[in-house]
Amino acid sequence: MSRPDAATPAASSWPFTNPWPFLTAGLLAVLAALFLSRLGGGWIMAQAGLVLAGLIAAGSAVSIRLHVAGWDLDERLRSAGVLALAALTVLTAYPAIDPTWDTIRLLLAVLAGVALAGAILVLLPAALRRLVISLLVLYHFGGILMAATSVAPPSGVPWWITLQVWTRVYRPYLQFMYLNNAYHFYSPEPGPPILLWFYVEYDDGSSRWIEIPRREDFRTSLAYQRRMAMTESTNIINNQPPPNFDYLWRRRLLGRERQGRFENIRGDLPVETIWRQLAAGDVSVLIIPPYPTHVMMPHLQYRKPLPYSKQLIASYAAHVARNYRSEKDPTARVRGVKVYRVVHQILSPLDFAQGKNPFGPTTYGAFYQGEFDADGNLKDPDDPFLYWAIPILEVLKPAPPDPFFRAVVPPNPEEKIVIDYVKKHAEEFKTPELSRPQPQGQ
Amino acid sequence: MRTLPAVSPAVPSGPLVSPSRFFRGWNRFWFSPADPTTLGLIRLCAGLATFYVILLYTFDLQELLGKDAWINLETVTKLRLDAPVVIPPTDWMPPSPPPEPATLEEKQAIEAYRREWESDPRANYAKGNVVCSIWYHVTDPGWMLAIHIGILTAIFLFAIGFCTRVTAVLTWLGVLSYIQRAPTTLFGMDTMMNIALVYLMIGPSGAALSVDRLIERWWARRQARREGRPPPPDLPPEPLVSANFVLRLMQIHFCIIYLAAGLSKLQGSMWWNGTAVWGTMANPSFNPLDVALYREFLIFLSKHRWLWEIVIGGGTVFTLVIEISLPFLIWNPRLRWLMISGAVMLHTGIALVMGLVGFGLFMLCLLLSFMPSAVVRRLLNDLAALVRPRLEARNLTMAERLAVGH
Repeated sequence: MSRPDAATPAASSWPFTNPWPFLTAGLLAVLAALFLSRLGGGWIMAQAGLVLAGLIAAGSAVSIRLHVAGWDLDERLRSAGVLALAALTVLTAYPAIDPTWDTIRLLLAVLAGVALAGAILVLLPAALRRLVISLLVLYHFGGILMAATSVAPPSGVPWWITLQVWTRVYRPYLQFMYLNNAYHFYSPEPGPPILLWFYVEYDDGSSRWIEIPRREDFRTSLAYQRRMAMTESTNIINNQPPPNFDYLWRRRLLGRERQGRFENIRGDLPVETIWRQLAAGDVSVLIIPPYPTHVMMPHLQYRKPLPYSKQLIASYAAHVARNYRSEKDPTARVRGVKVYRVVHQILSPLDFAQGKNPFGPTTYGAFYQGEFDADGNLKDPDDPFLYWAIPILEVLKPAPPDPFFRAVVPPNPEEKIVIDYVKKHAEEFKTPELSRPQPQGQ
Repeated sequence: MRTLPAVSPAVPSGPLVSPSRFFRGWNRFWFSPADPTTLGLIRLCAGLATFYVILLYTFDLQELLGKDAWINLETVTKLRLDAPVVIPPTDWMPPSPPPEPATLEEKQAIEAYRREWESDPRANYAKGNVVCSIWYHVTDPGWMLAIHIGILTAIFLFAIGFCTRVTAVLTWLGVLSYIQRAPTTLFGMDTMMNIALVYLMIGPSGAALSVDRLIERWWARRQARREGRPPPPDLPPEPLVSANFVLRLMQIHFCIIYLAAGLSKLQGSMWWNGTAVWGTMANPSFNPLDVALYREFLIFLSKHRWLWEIVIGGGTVFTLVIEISLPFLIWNPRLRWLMISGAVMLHTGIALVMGLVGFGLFMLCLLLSFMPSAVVRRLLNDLAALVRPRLEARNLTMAERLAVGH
């Protein structure tokens, strides 16, 4: 490819000019790998090493040949022969790789296909070769354009044709090459960052909070940014309220029912009284109230992740259970991991001008993702708080009652306190253990 | 006939749009030879940056790629094999419901899949993702470290341009392994790194500024000495069609990236009302808001609305103008310097404010494809002229020391 218009070989410009010893060595190496694979188990890494050596040798042969080859018919025939034999080497390597290494087998199939296509391409006369290369260029950039346009716009769906072509024609190519990016950086809007908070409880009675990511935990900014991307991946959520939203809302207000009482209700009020008070806008009966509607509308307080994010959250919970030991007793087993997906709000310029703290507690909006066991199994898929926002609120500090008149004194508007319901939820709302045995993965 | 003219033939006169003119233009655009020096410089920069990126995995090998990584092997395998691929129906009517499962096992399998993926497997177009990574199969920490070191070695050899044709492929496959195993830890930098490596693998990226080139020159001198000929002069590398071809691929891809990034921003109200850059400057996770000076700067800006609107609105408009206009204007030689300068400013700003240095580095590597090789060569010569006297002075000092017996 490097000298498509040159007719004479450049044999003297490189120490190696003969591809055949490399090709032979490559073929022998993969044959040895094939032989080992027929011997039975225990040689997987040796097989892989031999296959790699064989592929490097075959690749070197192709490289040498294309470096020194000319482009008259005889030269092209020889080059095509070398490429075809390299493809044969790769195909021989295919059965030498353990079938469980399916992605490596896929790679070998792709490499063999590329080598064979290269052999055919080299054989073609110059004009036809350029035509084929031009078509490949069009195919490639067609895929890049499909990837860029197959992302749904805000509150809409992508173009039907784009989706069809992307799925039916380009998906394998773009995914394999990792060229499937839409390049929609910071669009439609630059959004707030997503964090993960884990509350881990151990069977020694201790517990700890783990926040991911914290800048100070990482030696390099790249390691920190990788964790940022990781937490961002949990933000693939369903923006539409579910059909049973009203039921979920009522359940979230009341909490779990235990022995005729609701865990989120203060005291022992009858349900009718509770509903009457809630209907009047009085949430004081709730231990963990929702966000007031002027802060966040109820339908925005429920954010159910799509299955992809759910799988990731479960995996992250398992990782935390395995890697973050109890500070009291490192041998203690993990009893449960509560996970909160946290949206860290970006302050407005007005907030900055007023001197608000960008890391203040109320800048964090937590959504409960469930409690997981040490293996990452969701303990209670019917948890009433699952996927609901748990507020951290700044409220007026209640003034103590007047001791003389015993009257309620209105609070001072200058004095505010922060109530962290996330902490309360994590520490006080216990998930009942499932009846099935819970394996501990530590 | 091996050396081809570096300058393309003049554009023939004729109608502005005609098939023959189009094909001649196409041929000239893609298949003219070009000096591979620019490509060599891109390889050197992207190779070293890739080496750094992959080197940092050394401290996170188990955390990010191991069996019990953040995204563990079981989960990532499930995503790889089972994730549903759905497609809209080919007509206006919703697809007819699939037939009832024939057996109880089938019914249970469908239910299990539905619970996990909220999708009926029979309605999927396909399942899973087409990916490849050695880390799906090697999970023993010792072997992982050995393979990781092997990949790092290949990347280093590629960066310095040793056996570049082979090490370029090994580098790309190695990097792909990290990318495909930990898809949730990736961001724009990984995307740009992959794009650069794909094109560097296709093109003759080792034809200039490489160890391969040094070996080639050494070999030519050795051959001449053996044959009693005078040593060949140190000429610049010959122009190659494949070098031009790959530079064009990079240029087009870069333009698509910019256009997609720019046009997609037009969907957002913050980009229309000129406040979007605030979302990137005041982001508490990306920006150094814990640094008092930076925070004071934002507070100062916020307290002066006019200034705030000019800085933030100006930054927003600048981003949109550069991203949307570059794909068109960069082809004009008179405006190219302006576009390149704008893109360099944009990525430097992103790197400084948001800390996305790696992303900026790889974008600038791709942007180098627009630099004429003559400019690159002149820059390198200037650099060499700057460094050479110091090196000579140091050598002299060493020689003097040796002469006096130190």
